[in-house]
Amino acid sequence: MIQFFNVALSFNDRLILNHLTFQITKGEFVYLIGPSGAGKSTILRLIPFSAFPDSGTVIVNQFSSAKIKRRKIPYVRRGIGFIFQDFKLLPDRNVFDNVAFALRVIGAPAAEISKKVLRVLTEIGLGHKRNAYPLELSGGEQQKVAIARAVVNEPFVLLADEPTGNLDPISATEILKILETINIRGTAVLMATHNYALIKEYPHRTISIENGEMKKNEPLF
Amino acid sequence: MSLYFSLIEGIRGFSKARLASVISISSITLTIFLLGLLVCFNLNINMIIDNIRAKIDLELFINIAATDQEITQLHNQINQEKGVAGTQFVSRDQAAERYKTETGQDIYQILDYNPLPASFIITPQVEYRRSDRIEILKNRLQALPHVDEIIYQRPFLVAIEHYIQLGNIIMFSISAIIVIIAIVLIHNTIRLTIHARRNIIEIMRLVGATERFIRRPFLIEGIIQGLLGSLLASGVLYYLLRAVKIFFYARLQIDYNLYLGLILFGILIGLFSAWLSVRKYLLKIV
Repeated sequence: MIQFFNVALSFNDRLILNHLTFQITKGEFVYLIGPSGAGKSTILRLIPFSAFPDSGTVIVNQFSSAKIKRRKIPYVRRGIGFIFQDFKLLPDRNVFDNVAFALRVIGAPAAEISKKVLRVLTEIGLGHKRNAYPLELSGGEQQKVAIARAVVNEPFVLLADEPTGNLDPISATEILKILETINIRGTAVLMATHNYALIKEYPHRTISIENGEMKKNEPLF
Repeated sequence: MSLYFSLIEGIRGFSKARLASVISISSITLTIFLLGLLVCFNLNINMIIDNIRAKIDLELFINIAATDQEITQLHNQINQEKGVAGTQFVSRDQAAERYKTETGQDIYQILDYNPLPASFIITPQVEYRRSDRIEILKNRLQALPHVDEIIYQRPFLVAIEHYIQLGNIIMFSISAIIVIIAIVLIHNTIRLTIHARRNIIEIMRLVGATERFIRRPFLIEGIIQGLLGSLLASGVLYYLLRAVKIFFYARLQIDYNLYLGLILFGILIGLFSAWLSVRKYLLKIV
């Protein structure tokens, strides 16, 4: 499903990723760990083709970084969900519209949008806050909205870049539980994190990156 | 659905970035207003020039030995020539009269006889009142029998054309400079609004919006700015030209298609500037 073959990438003469090879299979939950600046976020950027390797190949489903055309990239991204440490919600739209945004921009019909958004908000426990604005919500709730937006389009993989980085331990656990549920339903999850307590509590295969190189590729605990 | 979404996003973007919108609209208003003035000025100058050109006639002098019958034949031949709108015969006596009127001297007092030949004053058709085409007409007429000489105010016509050409170049250059300045200004303003909305663009990209889709709200915003700017400019221009016509220059001609053209051009400027800005921004990111 997602394959990295000998991927190397430099930026301003600094080696970010050094001949990285790994794969993530359908429905897998994988942690990506490593110190800040190790290249975790870069790996997450390579998957939706927001960045391209200098050498080696990234393959996402049937699309290869070596061959994909610029105009095809949006269609790859429609199968990928993203969540970030800073949530990246639109502050001038309410919860419903933030989630619906992901469907509107791909031209989904209005009836389908309403049905899907309400369903995912209810599942995530925010159905009652659909009219609230992001700044009226707690950090944990904002991240839940971001998750709802990421999964409303039923992606095959969810990429999470430090999703618990800005959250208190209780909210962080809640978010991870939601990610576990999403994963059980068949969506693969690749989560970059520093939160070793959570990794210990919810163990999965862990890819450890240091100075752009893979150090470990097995469950950490 | 997606077009409706783009329309709503475009209107939302337009109303949110009020300062940027005001700057863009002002630039378009000023540009369209100046262009409108230039076009109107050019239109009226051209009309004055056309009136002057309308007075340019050819004078065909008939060989003094030609008989009345030959002159009648020549008259018919001239009238059949392509490019001739009308002819007026000037007999030798009328030529002498004209000489007296123009110089104040009687030809018979200078000479014992009238040396002035009879002539035809030929009015060319409108499309032949150009230095190149009138010369062709002249050469064709010159080839007819019993024609001695044909004269017309060629230096005057050439000078008019030279000044028209010069005027057009100056006008085109000024217009081009105004339009380029406006596009640069609007382009930069829209770049600022794009920068302010980079988050929404980033989210659109991440959830799989196509570039065309991302571009559309900004293009709609550009169209709205262009439309409002040019409507405002056309309104101001309309009242200004009306005032000029009423108070200063009653012969001022106003072509009402001008306003339609200006509005369309304003929309085009807004659209093009927006397209340029978004394209540049999207090319920088993957």
